[in-house]
Amino acid sequence: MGSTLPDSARALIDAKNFATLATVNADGSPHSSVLWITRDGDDLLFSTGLGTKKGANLQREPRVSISVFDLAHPYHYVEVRGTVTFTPDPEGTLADELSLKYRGHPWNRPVTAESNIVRVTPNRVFEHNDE
Amino acid sequence: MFTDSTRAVFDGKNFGTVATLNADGSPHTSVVWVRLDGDDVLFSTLRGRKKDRNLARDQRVSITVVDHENPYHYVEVRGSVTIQDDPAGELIQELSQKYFGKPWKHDEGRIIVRISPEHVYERGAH
Repeated sequence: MGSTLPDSARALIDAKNFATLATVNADGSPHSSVLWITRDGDDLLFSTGLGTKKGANLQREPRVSISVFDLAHPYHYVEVRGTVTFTPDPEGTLADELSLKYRGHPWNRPVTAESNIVRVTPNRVFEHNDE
Repeated sequence: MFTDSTRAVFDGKNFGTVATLNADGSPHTSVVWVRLDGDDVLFSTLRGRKKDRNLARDQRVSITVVDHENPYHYVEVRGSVTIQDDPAGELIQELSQKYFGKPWKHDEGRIIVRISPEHVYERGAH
């Protein structure tokens, strides 16, 4: 029951816009953090360690919501809701890819053995574009 | 609860992303205009919007505000909300002036969402 990303939402995600990820804490309250993001087809990808707050939250509750707005025109934003899966990334390949996208050079810092690629498979996409 | 540096992020024309909980317990996010009122965070929405329905059921929120000049600098505030009616749209008019520099169109059912922070987290301050 996947959802697809319209071209305009893809463009937002492909540009150097920062994403806010919402996860669920152990007590059921929401948590949010800002991160780098990229895309593989309709799936969103980000990098985290399993031991971080978001990593721990996601292992308990894989459902997330991510909003990305256009820094140059913040009235355009997309919300993607979906469920995550993890792929271990001990070499930090995704961290390098994201660092290249946002900063123009590789990550250049050690990643931990628990570094993971988090893949968000969308089940709902909401796009807002007010002038 | 706020330092000069976290206050500055809220005082700038920086957008917030508010996370609430859906009926099934999954998270929801949306992008909002924000401002501080003392140590509370305020944003405006409409009765019946998804955020409003979610907050009527569960008052807990998390909001991040990113410094648009330096997106590595952001603030996360977690807390619980109280909601009051804003029939004259005072808050949305004020926010529209702050972000837009002009009045907001009139709309019915405006509410003020007030977050009382329990946790303020800052990242990337210089």
